[in-house]
Amino acid sequence: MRERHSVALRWFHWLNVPLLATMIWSGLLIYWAFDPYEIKLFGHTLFHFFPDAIYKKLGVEGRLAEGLGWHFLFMWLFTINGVAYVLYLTFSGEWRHLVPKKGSFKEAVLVFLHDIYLIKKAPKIEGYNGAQRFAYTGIIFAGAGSAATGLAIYKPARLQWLTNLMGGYQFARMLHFILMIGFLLFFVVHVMQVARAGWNNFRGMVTGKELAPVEDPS
Amino acid sequence: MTDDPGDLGPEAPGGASDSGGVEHLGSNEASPSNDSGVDDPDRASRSIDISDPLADMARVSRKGFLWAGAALLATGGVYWWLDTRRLEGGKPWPFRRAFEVNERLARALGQGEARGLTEKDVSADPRVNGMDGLAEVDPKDWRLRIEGIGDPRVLTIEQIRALPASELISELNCIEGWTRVMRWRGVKVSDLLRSLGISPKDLPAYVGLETPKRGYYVGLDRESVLHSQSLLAYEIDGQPLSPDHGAPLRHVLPIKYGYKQLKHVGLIRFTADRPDDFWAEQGYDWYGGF
Repeated sequence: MRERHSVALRWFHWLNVPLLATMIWSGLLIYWAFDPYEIKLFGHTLFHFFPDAIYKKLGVEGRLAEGLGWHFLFMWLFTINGVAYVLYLTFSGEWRHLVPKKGSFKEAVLVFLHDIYLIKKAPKIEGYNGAQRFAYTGIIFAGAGSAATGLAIYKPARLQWLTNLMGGYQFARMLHFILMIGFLLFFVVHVMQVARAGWNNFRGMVTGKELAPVEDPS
Repeated sequence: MTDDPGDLGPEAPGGASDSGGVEHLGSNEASPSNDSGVDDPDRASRSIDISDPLADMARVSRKGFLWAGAALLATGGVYWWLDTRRLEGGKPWPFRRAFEVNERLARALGQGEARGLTEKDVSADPRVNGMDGLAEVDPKDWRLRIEGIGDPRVLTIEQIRALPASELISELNCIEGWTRVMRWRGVKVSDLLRSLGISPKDLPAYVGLETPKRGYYVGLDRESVLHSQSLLAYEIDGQPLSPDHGAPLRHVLPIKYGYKQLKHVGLIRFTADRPDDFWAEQGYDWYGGF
C-alpha cells in the first residue's frame, strides 16, 4: 500500500462534483431562456442546443429565476474551490505531476491510439500519462475561462475591459457555453477512463491510498 | 483479507463455502489467503500485522468509504436545506441573501459605464418583450408625477420635451440573455432634476418608478438613477415611442438589465426605503445591475 492522492487534493476533486454539477444545471436553466446556439454545416442545422424534447425531459422550462439564484450563489463556491486548488498545486509542488512535460504530446497520442484499440501495446508510464497531463491541465484553464467569461457577462459595465477582452457580451456568452460543453465532454471521458482503470485507481481518489503492484520475482 | 468492501473479488465473507481452488482475482498481491482455514493459527497475528498491505488497505478503505458516504449525505442535506428555506420574493432566503451580498460587492466596486456604441451598431430588429403595465394613452392626457422630494411635481410630455435633450446609443441586455442596440433620445434624469431645482445630494437612497396604474414597478438605487446613462426617453430611432415601447416616456438605463428599465413611466418616487420591484417579487435579483 502506498500514498496516492493527498487529502487536500481529494477534497478539491470531490467538491467539484456537486459544485460543477450545480453550475451546469443552473446554467442550463438560464440558457433555456435564450438558446441560440447550433451547429451548422453548409447552412444546414445539424444540432440545435437544445431540442425542446430535451428541455421537456429534463424539466428545465420556465425556471430562469431559480437558475440565476443557484448560479450566483454557487459561482463563489466553485471559484473558491478552483483558486484553492491552483494555489495548492503551486505551493505543494504537485503541479509537476500534471503539467505536460517534454514528450507528453507524443505520449498522449500513443495513449489515445491505445485507448481506441488502434495499437496494442500500452505505453509504459509512471504517474499521469501525457493524455492525462493535457486533460488535467486543460481543465484548470477551462475553469479559469469559465470564471472569466462568466464575469464578462455578469458585470459588462464595471468589468467592461474584461467583456471587451472576451470579444463582447454575446461572444463571451457563447464561450461560456462552449466551455460548459467542454466540461461535459471531460466528465464523460473521465468517468469512462476511471471505469477502465479499475477499482484500485478509483479507491485511490476516495481513500488516498493504493495497492502497489508486487515486483515480479522472476 | 475478506472484509474490504470492494476488494477485487467475488470472495464471500468467510469464504469457507467456496470449494477449493478458487482463484482470487488480482491475486498477484502477495496476500495471505485466509479463506481456507478458520483454524489457521497464524491468522490473528497476520491480520493485525501492519506490514500486511491488504489488511491496511481494508482498514483505510473502510474509513475512506465511510467518509465518502457521510459526505454524500451531508451534500444531500445542504441541497435539501437550501431548497426548503422560507421564501423571500419567491426565493428561498439563502439565495436572496446571496443576491444581496453580490449587490453590496458590486456597489462597493463603484459604478461602471455601459459600452459606448455608435450609429452603425444599432440593431436592425428592435424587440418588444413584456407588456406588463402598458396602456395606450393620448400623450396629451399623460402626466409624469415626481414625489418624495419637496412638493410633488407634475409634468406634461411637452414640458419634458422642452428640457435639454440627450441622445444615447446603448445596448439593452435582457435577463433572458438576448441583447439589442437601440438609439434613444430623451432627457437625462440628472438634467430633469437639475431643471426642477432638485439637488442630487438632497435625495434619499432609493427611487421607485411606476406605470400610471402600478401595473409594473421598478425599485432602483439612487446612484443608478443619477448615472450619466440614465435617460427618460421619448424617442426611439428618431421616432416617438410606440405604445409597446412604453409611450410616451420610458426609462433607459443600460447599466442594468431590461427588467429594471420601466416603460410607460407615470410616477417617480424618491424614498428612503427600498421600493418594491415587480420581478424581484418573482424570484429575480432586486439590483440587476452590471
